[in-house]
Amino acid sequence: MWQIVTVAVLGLRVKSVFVPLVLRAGIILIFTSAGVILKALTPGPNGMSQLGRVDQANILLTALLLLCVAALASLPMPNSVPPLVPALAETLTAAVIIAGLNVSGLLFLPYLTIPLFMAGLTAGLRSGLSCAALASVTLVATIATGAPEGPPLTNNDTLVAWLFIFVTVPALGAWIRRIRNEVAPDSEPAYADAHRLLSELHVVARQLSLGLDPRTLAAALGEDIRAVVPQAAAVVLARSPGGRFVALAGEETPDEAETAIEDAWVGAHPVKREADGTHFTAIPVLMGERVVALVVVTTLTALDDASIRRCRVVIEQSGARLASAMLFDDVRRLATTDERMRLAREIHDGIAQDLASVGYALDDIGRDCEPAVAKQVVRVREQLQVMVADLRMSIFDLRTGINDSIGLGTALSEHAQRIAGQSDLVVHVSMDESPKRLPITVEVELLRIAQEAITNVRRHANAANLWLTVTVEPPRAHISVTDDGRGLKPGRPDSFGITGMRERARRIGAHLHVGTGPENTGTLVEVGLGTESSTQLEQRPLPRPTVTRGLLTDPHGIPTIVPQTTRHGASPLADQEVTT
Amino acid sequence: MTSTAATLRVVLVDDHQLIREGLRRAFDRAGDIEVVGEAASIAEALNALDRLKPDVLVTDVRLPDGDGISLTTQVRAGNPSMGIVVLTMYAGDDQVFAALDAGASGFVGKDAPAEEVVAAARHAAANPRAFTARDLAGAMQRRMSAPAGPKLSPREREVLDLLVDGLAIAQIARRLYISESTAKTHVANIYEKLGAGNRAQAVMAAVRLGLVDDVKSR
Repeated sequence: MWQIVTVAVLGLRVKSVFVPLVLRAGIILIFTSAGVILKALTPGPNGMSQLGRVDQANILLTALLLLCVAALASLPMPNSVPPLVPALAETLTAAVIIAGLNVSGLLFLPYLTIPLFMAGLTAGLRSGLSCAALASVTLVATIATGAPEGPPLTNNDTLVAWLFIFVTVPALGAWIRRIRNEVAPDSEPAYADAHRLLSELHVVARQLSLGLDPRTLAAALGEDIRAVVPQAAAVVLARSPGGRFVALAGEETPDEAETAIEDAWVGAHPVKREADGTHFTAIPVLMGERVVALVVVTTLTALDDASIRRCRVVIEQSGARLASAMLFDDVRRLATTDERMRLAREIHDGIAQDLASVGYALDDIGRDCEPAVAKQVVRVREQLQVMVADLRMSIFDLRTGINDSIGLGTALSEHAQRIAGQSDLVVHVSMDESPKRLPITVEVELLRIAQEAITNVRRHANAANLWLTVTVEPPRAHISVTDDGRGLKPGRPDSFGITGMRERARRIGAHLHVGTGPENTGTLVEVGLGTESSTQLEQRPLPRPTVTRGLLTDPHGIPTIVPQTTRHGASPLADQEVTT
Repeated sequence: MTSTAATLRVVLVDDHQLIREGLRRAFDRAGDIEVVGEAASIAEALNALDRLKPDVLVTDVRLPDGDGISLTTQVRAGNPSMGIVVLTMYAGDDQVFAALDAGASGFVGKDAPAEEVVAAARHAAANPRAFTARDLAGAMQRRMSAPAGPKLSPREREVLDLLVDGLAIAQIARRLYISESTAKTHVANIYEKLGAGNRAQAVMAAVRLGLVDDVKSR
């Protein structure tokens, strides 16, 4: 086993060392043999064979030294070393060896092109040229001081030619470097990153047992907290961009916990607070440095540091999961908004304009024809006007929705008022909305369900009155749309609109009921969230009572905290920041 | 066609030809109104207005090279007396108020009969600066009932109160049993929500918006 690992590691090393070493050794070998053969073939100008032999030994010595330099230069460098440093070192030593060891050493001048080329390739033009300057200066200096009679470089033409080569080679390297960078552009690295992450998310989302639904994950986190802190109620809160805290799972926290929640969010560490004998501990869910959600643990006795630590361990494990799910939810919402905008544009620019122009044409025709026909035209024109008004409403609904400042109640009552203004329906609105809000994704689905129900009444019910009741008490909500029209027709329950409403209700875990209205007239559409059925929530007086420990139950209705009447004389501002 | 003395000259701006044709017929029928020009884009509209100097401009909101609201603003800036009718398929109070703010004289939905457009054009020529729209009263009422101004969280209200009292960050932190960095972040968030750059501006904004009680009563 170990041999395999060693061989594999060596294999990696060898590959990165091999190519540059062979390149350098190859050049040295070629010029060594060329020099030796040349010296052997041509006797000295005056038959000085002795000098020839000295030269051959010199050539071999130079070759050996250069081989050492080549071996050292080929070793892989750690990334912390800038690429210019080894290039400069190699250039300097090679130049000294080549010029210092007698004139015949100048045979190896071409070797210098390797570090120069590498400098241009790895560190750019400027570094390459500084290497070239170093090589030239070293050569000239060494020859001038150590080899006064050296012939080859004293020739001006040769010198100029070599200087030219020294400048050209790093430029060539730098040019190749630029082309390589252009071939693989990182023009949109953000998009490439986004694509990679989304692909990963796509794969992960399909493999996860809990999926990527923030509410399911938050509920699971709440369960896990209760497992480590028995006798506690846990609620997982997320914050909308508008600064509201909404419960992803668990009962909404009472107002007393509000400031502790805010402080924990802002400070990114656990904050304790005690009010009327109930202890709230807000613990942030962190993704890196960022707070993505909060877990508020409600207990009857203050949580000790050990319990908080245990909670933090649990939270740490599911933090990334929850953060990803919330992000995914948001991406999905953005995609939906985008698609709705596109639909709105398509309707606006197409069918709506065509119908409007048909309306204008009818206005024209109605003026010219006989009274009997004109009467018919007027009727058709009125129908058309309703249709175009419908389309205007559809475009409006597609383009607008719920956001941080417009909540479910506001959006729905605005919608109802507009319906009342544009039709003969008398709309009765009864709104019972807590100042706290549901998560935006949930509000959007509820709004769409109610809009669809109202649209059905307006289009098909032939009703005189419409009753809209909205009760929002996060995490619960109930909406009913009732009319006094002609009631359900066979086939309607399976119609497209109702299928769509059912799908939306299923997505947020709400119950939908479509049936005959009270007193066997009209139609009733009810949607209930956070209740066992779609029936009306018990009416709760608003504003809420200051202490709502009776509500501190888990989603299945099992009380986890026994209401307590003893009051502790604690200051209402007794927040404690925990810095465990 | 007609030789009425006071003829209203109208320019129609809409990128849908059928809409322009329908409206042109309606205006022609009115007798004393003449459609002197048509345009399908902002650029064409500006050109036509410059050339023809009409009494009334009737413009769609969504146009290929911009929107009719900004065209209205631009035209109104140079022509205080031109009648401008905004015609649109969009519904919603925001559209009505955008047209009002831009200086339009009237706002008509595209579901309304052509006669309504003609009537709006007449009104616009007579009272260019008196805005009319069908559901203006309802829209006004809805706008009035909507809450306005920045929303501070309960903790931010507490911090703001102490800021107004002149406490330093460290004092605020001690008073609220929070760390100094937490207090600092709260203050930064308050500044951002109030659009203030410093404490004095934040206090001024808070007083102006009625976010704090009368300073003297403290």
